[in-house]
Amino acid sequence: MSNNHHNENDHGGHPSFLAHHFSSPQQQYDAGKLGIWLFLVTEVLFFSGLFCAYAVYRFNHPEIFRYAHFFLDTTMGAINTVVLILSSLTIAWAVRAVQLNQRRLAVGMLVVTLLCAAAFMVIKYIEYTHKFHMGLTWGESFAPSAEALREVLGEAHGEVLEKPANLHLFFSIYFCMTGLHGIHVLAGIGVIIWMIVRTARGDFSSEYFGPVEYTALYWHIVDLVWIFLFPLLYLID
Amino acid sequence: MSSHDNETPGATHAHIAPISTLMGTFIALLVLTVVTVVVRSIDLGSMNIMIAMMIATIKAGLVAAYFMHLAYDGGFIRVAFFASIIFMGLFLGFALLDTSEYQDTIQWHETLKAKVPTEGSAADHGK
Amino acid sequence: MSTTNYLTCSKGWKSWFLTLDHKRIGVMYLTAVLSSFALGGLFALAVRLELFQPGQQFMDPTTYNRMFTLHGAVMVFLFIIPSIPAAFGNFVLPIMLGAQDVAFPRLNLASFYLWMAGAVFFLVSLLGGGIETGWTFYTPYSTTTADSSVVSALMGVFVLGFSSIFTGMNFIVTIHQMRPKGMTWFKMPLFLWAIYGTALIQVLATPVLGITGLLLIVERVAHIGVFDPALGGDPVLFQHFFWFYSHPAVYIMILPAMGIVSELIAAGSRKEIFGYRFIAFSSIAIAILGFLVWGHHMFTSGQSVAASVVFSALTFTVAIPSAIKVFNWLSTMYKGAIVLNTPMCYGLSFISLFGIGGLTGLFLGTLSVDIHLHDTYFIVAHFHYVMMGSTAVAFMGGLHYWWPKMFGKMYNEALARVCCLFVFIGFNLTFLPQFVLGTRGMPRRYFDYPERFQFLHQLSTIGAVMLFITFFVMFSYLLHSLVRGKPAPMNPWGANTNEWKCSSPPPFNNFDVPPPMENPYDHTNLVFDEKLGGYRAKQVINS
Repeated sequence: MSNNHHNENDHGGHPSFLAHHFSSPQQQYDAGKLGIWLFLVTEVLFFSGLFCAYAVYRFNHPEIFRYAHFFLDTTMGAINTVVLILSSLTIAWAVRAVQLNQRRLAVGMLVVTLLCAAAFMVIKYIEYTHKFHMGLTWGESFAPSAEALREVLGEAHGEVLEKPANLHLFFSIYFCMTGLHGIHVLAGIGVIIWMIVRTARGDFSSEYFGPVEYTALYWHIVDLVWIFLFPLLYLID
Repeated sequence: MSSHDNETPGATHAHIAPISTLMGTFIALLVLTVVTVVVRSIDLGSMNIMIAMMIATIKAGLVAAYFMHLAYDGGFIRVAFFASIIFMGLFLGFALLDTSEYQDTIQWHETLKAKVPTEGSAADHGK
Repeated sequence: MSTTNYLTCSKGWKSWFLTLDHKRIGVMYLTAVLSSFALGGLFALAVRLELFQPGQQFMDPTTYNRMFTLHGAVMVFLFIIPSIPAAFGNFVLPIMLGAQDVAFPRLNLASFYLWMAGAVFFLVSLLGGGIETGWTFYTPYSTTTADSSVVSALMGVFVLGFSSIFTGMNFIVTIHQMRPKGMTWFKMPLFLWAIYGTALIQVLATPVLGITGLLLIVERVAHIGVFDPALGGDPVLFQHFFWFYSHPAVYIMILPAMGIVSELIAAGSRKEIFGYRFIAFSSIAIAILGFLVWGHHMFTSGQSVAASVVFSALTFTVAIPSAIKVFNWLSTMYKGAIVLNTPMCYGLSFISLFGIGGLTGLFLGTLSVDIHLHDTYFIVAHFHYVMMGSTAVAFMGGLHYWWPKMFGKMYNEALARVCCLFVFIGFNLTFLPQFVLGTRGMPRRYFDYPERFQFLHQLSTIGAVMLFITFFVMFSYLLHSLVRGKPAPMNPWGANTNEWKCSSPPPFNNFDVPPPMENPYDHTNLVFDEKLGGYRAKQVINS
């Protein structure tokens, strides 16, 4: 936060990264950290709407979820879980590296995080296109192809299930949840790129690393949401 | 600032996670992911979802405590984070309480619809 | 202290539109919310004039539906929710603390521009034919039946939600992290406790409004069926989503108003506030209890009996902290040396109107009574007593209280007091008859009514016209004061909170050195000085 619009009271002696209205770097860091945590609180409640919809429909219509989950690829979901956990590790490591003035290590860790995020989106893309191809979309447009149904009944190992009414509700919820999560991953990719640039040009040091840590906290909450989405959407039995 | 000893006025104090903690958390998360996938294939009835959610909560707790430093940053941050979970529970709890109470009304309405032949889209979507 | 103030320290449009100064952002917000108040007021006037006689006067039923929807949506989302926190909160919060700015000045500016974006979405929706769903957007009407620009209005609601969240986050962090040495939690003025409680609700509840808006947009555009009964969805679930935010939002509206009134009553009674800690904690209690009562909007919506009973019981608990506040204000006035200046008049007006608004809320919280009164004019009268009679009146009180500080000019005090009286009379004339209408069975939102309701409807319309004229006069003398007003003294009301310890208007940096942190309600050291036209510290005479 630069102080660019007033000229009186230039706080001589203050480090360049310290905004004029803070009295110390510690105050600036603590304020930023509390701010990002409050943002994470809003994220939790933002997603809670979707979890609420999920819980209400799952509780009242378990048959829809039992039937529909066969359409999901557990392997893909598991791979994505591992990818996100790995990215959480690397970004936490990046924060540590910045705190210890290990700039190259920090950039490296951030790049690995970025690659993981990209891999996550690629896998998501493969899953989505597969679903669109089979007609497994949301609400009104839901029209599973014969191929899709055959695949499901095959995977159910002969277990014959009656197709429940309103099967499309599962896919509506699935696309809303993973879609909103995907948007958060995309936003995270943008912020991580920005952090790579700033870290590489030497903006951060052991005295000023707030933005990297805030980015990491955001990224962890994206991971956290996925940790719940994975069993809820892919591991129904 | 590599240690808490050199307290220069310009420095910022924050917890630095040791590599052992980071790696330990990572491995624990991987193990729990494997466990949750394996447990799924064992049929425990309605317990399956409970176990899956318990494992997910433990994983989330690990991420929050060690990757997000919640184990070291006390005070208001912790209060705020738990508040978000409590309010989420409140939201889900009341919504579940209510919607599950009026399901029989919906069932009753559906059976009425089934008895009286209706034309058009309502019947298509009904069943 | 330099002679320049925050208004004169830099010039040019960029110095305003790109400013990071909380005071300038507060002033921009003030201008913005007052404009929306005027716009929403015009919609209300149109509705009232249409209802002057039974049958169609000058607009058809669909236009009428759009008018009351726009009135509600503009007043709730563009005016009341941001009004006190974003305009006055922004302006006085850092000064009251003795800090230089809020914690995140850029986020603060972003919040203002998100508000502007939200306003643009609303205008697009207005130009695109308006919306007729009511401000509550109930499904399936809003998703399938309504033939209007619902999506852009929902985009507006979504964006305005984030504007509100940013303000709330900023205030919480500022109060936690930016208090100078000596400014302890219990030396904070009660307005800040109220703003803090409000910010907690903004952060915890508003995200749910965001997701509700998003789901409704997706529902309307892609027909996902989550809220649509034709696709197996649950429309009552939408109401849970909506009211999980929108009931706490009522406290986003009323809590800051209560905070202002604490300041007005303390300053106007020339006495230390009674029960400081009770008022402070009751703000937090209201913030938390406000989350537990949303189901009382759904007693007749198909909500289950079990949920209704729980929500009804919880609703009554909100009366406790609200009553604690009212009793403490009354005790503050008891044996005080009451000065009936304009802000104090608004404070008194608030207490009586909030008394009516709050108590009628208890009628509606009672299950059996609500079945009878739900969706009648009784509800309309009740929430206008709380939203307008309380929040808007407190907003006007705050406007008159801080106007000298914000712009350094005094308005015509006599005229202001007359206007305050006319706001009180006009308001009661508008909404008291609506209580009667409601109990006699006049449903809300109806375009037409039987002849026997005409007299009461006409009283209500006359009151609305009276309010309109009074507000016009009020804005005229306020604007006039900017040009011709007497220079305001540092402390015209004799309050001891920190914003009265810097010049009027405040300098750019608020304080070069944080002011001494004293009891904000200790008025014993302040005396009125005829020459200054305001109060000053006693010690100056002795030294």
